[in-house]
Amino acid sequence: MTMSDRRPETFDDLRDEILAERPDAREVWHASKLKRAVAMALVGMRKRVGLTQIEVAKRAGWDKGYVSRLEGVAGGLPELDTLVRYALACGCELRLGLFHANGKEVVDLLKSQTVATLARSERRATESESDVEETEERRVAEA
Amino acid sequence: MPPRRTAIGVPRDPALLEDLRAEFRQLTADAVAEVWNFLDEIGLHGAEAADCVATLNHRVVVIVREVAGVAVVIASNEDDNSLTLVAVSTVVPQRRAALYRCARALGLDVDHEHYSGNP
Repeated sequence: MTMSDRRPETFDDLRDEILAERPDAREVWHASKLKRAVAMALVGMRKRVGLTQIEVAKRAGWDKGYVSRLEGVAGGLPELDTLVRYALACGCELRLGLFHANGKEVVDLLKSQTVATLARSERRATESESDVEETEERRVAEA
Repeated sequence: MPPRRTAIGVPRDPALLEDLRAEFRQLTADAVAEVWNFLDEIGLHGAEAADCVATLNHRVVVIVREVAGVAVVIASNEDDNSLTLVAVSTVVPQRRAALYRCARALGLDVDHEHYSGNP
């Protein structure tokens, strides 16, 4: 039976047909499962706080294209500090924990101290960049 | 609780459905995954994710966004809040062409158009 013999009702049906017919698409789709889950979570968080990609980019000090890539399928998973920065730009915080099979949390990996440390290091990095730029500007002005 | 996802329909017209299948066959695997991801986004968050929104007959919103070099056209019928995937094309369609294809997919005549955004 070919794809044309069936009558899909929804896009999900059509996607199943295409997945069955195209191993290359199936491979990319399954390989990107975790990235897609993270991307959808980022989009969901941004939408809930009512921000555009441009606004998140501005707050985080990125360009819009980078935010777009974070919210897309392509590429690898974002670094942890990138996720922390994205969350902070949305006025949120990142939580990451290890959970037992029964659903109970065993370790909160980013509990307060870690998040605060990451957030502080992000701020320090941003401030350092500004300091370097100011020093450079002063040097140019003095010369 | 995760947000409710709206199921996205496909054209009932067999010819238009076959056009859609043919378009998917022409896309690279990466582009297919990007388009599917965008459709999930639309299903969850609606037209906010669009680059261009057009209104047809005062009740059908056409959502267009270019994803990984692919134009994705979705019709959103405000009468029943349904969404229909109309086209995925590596050639970004002109607004009017996208609109007329949506109209055909939904069996409508175009008697009103309004655009916003920049497809």
